[in-house]
Amino acid sequence: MPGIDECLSGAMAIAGARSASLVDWSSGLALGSLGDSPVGEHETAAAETTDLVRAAVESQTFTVAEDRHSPLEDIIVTAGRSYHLIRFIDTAFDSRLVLHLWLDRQSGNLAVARFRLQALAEDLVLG
Amino acid sequence: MAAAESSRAPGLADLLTGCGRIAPEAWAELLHRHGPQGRLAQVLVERQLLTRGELELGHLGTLFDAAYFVLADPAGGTWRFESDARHWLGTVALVDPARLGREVERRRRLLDGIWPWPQLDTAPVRPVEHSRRPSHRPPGRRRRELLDHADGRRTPADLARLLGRSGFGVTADVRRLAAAGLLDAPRHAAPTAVPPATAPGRPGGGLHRRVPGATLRSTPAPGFSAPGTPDPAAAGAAAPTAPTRSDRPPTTAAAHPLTVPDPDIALLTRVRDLLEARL
Repeated sequence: MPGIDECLSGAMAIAGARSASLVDWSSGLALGSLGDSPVGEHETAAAETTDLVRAAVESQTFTVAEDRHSPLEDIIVTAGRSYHLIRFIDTAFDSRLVLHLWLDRQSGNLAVARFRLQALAEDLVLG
Repeated sequence: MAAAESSRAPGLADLLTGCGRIAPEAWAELLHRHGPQGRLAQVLVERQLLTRGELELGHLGTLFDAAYFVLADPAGGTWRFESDARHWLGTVALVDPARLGREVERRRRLLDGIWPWPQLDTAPVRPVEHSRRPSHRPPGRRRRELLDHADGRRTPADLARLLGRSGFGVTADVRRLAAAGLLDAPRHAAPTAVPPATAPGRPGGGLHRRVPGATLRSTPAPGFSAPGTPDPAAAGAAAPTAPTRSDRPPTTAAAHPLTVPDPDIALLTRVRDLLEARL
């Protein structure tokens, strides 16, 4: 049964993965991280990821037409050399968690990585 | 650090019984039977009441949540180390104390960046009248729910327990709502930007009435230490604009710019000339 460490290891096993973090976006806390942080330390990256997540979650444009309980599934940022996949994690109890994967654009495959990250996020909660 | 508890932060039991995952009676029975041996976490997973991932997420979330309220409490409290103490949950995940300390400090800065009004965190809060208008509804489902349950008697901690949410998350949302002028605490004055020395009523008029920065940006209440400029990384997207959008009563200097009884025209003219000369 996977815990946080296994989930992050699984994310790092995705081809092209540069870092993986589990972030609580109610506070900006990194509950766990593996790999190289884009900004040198995972704590800073988690706080900045939180800003992006909150902007999306609290915007009418991205949420108003969606289902009340899980309006957003993921956020993808495409940059010149990398992708950032931010996957929302759904728990039975109230939590505000995302799984953030930093992916190398040359060696990674966005579609495969997105599919794999979804499975990891579900396995973390469902076992 | 293996566990932390605070009356201001809902614990793992509150989260799990609040969302209906485990009935309160079943939790009490489990705690009674397996708590004394510190095996509750193990039993929850073995009986498939929780997955390992859920247990770790819930445990770490509530640990950091409670630790913030214990360690950031300005009243301090009493500290004691008990050797050989065992927590009823058992060991789920251990947190390095230095990391916990950094996190508590970061969260404190984050709250002050949103709206530097620490009294709000423990005060009964209520929505202000115009927040009921559709055009003033705040963004985000969680903040709207908070506003709907704030009744002037419940504190942020009460709201967190009622809604089964993290105490820090509710505290931050309450400060965001207050910064947006949608919620206030009737028994606590809003932070004032006017130091006592610049109180109105000083005779003579002139420029000394003006308090630098008093018009838009709020500064922390006297006696409360806060960084002069909020950390942009920690402050969040809403932080830089939030205090300026407040509907709080303006500061004294800003509220009465036209009530100076005898403006010193000669002085004002000199100041204007000097400013123009510098441009």
